[in-house]
Amino acid sequence: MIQLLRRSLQLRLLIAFLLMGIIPYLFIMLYFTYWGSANIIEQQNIRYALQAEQSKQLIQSRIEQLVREMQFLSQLEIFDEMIALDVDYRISRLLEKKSKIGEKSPLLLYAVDEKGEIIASSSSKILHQPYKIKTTEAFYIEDKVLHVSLALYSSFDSRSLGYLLAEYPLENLKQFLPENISLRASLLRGEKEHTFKLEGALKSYELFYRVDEKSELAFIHQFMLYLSIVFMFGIMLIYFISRRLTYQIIQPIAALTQAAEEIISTKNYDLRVQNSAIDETGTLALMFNRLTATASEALKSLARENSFRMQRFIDLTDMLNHIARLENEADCINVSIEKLRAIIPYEINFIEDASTHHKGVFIPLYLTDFSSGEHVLYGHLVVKKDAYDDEDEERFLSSVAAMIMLQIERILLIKEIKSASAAKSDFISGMSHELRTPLNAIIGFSQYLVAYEELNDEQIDIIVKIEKASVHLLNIINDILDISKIEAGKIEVHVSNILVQGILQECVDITIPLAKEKSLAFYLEFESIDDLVWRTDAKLFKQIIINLLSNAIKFTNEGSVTLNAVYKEDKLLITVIDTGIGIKKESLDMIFDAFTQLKNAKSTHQKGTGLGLSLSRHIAQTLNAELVLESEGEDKGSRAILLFNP
Amino acid sequence: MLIVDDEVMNRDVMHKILSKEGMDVYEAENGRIALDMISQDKFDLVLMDLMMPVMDGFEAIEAIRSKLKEKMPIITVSATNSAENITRAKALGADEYLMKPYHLMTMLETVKRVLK
Repeated sequence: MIQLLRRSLQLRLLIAFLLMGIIPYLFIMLYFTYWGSANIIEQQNIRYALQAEQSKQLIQSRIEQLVREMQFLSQLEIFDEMIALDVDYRISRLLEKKSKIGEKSPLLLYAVDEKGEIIASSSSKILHQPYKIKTTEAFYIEDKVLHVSLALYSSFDSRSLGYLLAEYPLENLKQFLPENISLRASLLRGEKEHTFKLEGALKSYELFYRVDEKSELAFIHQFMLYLSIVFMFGIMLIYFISRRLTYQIIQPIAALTQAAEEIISTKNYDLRVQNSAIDETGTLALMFNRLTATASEALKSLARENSFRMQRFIDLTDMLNHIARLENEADCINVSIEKLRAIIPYEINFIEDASTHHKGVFIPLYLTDFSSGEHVLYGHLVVKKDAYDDEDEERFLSSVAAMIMLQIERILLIKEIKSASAAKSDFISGMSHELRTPLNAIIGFSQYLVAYEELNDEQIDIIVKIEKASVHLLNIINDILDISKIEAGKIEVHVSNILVQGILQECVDITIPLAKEKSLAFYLEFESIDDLVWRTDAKLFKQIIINLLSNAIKFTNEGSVTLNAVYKEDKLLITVIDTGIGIKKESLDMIFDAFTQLKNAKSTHQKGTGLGLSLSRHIAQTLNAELVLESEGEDKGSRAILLFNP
Repeated sequence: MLIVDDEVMNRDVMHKILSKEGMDVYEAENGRIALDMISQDKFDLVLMDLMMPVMDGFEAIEAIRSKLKEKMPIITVSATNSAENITRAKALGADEYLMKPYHLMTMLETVKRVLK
């Protein structure tokens, strides 16, 4: 409940208004309920009591008066006449006169003599009627009539003459009683009754009144009822008015809340709140709208800026992509300028010489010289404006300049590499020719001498040595040139279908003399390669196999060399196993490096260029094969494993 | 037979060997001289170097085949051994290709083969 109240201003206002209407009513009702009635009742009580008292006095004085009058009467001498006759009309007339006291129910006065005979009466009706003496009491009440009897005495000798009787209907006392007070014979006191005992003749009687609360309070109740009805209407009125007022407060708030929610969810900052009131809520709505408008403007401006920057970024990236593909400095500059002109709103140019008459902001372009590492001024970009708009723009243009220069550097670098590469290739091919020519002469003449001239053994020996040395030199040259060609990517690969077994046999044929020279055993292990045809470059294939075989033979002084070829799972595995001087584990990595020949205790100067394995590896790479060298260690032989993948 | 090569030493070696084999050997320095000589005399075999000044081997071979319409065997002898050159030489009309430096035996073998 508390939560509900805390959350709803509307509810609080409504309750406040209603309470303002209810509370007075409540207080009034409370008062009447607890104190009012009691007060009123008590007031009434007091009033009635007074009245009763008053009545009592009146009644008693009346009775007393009656008694006095009777007493007076009784002392009249006329009554002496009573004994004279049966009925005394004079006394009757007197009595009749006296009885006319103008009360409602007539008073009966009559005189009764000693014998009990009525001798005079105020009413002719009861003349001649016998009189029963009921009691000796002076007063008694019977049938709501007060009987008063006074003894009559003669005025002469005070002899008892009889009695003077009065019958006074108690009814007559009603004149002394206000409405709510009644006369009755004494009863047991009731709770709601208030009694006033009478004295004297009426001592057996009492006055009593009931305070009829209902009727007493009837007025109050009526008033309260009236009040309640008024209150009902009042409450309804309050309710409607308060609702209206509350609405006038809450509705603008709700409208604002809703508008805010909508703006948040739809991000539509152009939404406005409608409110035509000119009071505080109107002002609130107006300010809200202005706030939204400000925010909207700011966001739009930000978005525009963002979009602008994004566009710039894209354009810049686009420009860089373009110039990245160019291979020419001039193109690079021109395209850059062209693209830049689209990106920045100013005229921009490239000038080599800053001393010309261009005006504007100069952005220097620096190149890094490869060899010296120095920054060299390449030229300037000139932007036709007086100064930069802001720091960002300056930074932007500087970055652009740097990137352009990066591309230029790259282009120059590529050019240089290409020309260096071209120079190298040319050199190599030139050298190839240059080197071979003299060698041709040396080898040729040596061979000639041995073949055609008469020489003694010693001379032949010398010349053969010359020839061998030349051939060795030739091999070195060939290896160098081959490696260079492979590295330069200039080796020509002619793929054809080769008969594996045939080629391997050729390689064996070529190298087996070398093995025989060293008295080494030569073993062939061919498995599943009988009709195997492989697609590769025949020349290179031969070259690598021969290379590996001659290497194995070279580094084996005793034992055997085995050529193992296996075709399994679509792969061709060729292994050259020797029982030679082996390779230290640590050296296994180095072995493929060009010009490395491993120093080994047992190895004397080995023939070989040191390029053999390096070249083999290059050839393997070219043929899309893997070459691995394995050895258990020194003197434990080695294995060259060549794996051809499909 | 005619040996065409710009290097004197190369010509010398071949001359000596072939003479010893009992052949009649003549020499030319470049393709142009070779053509002159061929147009004047009859030769049984031409050993043509490829890299020569004035007129190189390719041009000479082409000229021999198409202009002079000589049908004698031509062996190209060259230090360059690219497949490209081999193909080109053969396409122009060479019959064999020898790579320098050549083994004595190989050269003799080729010559003898071609003369048959």
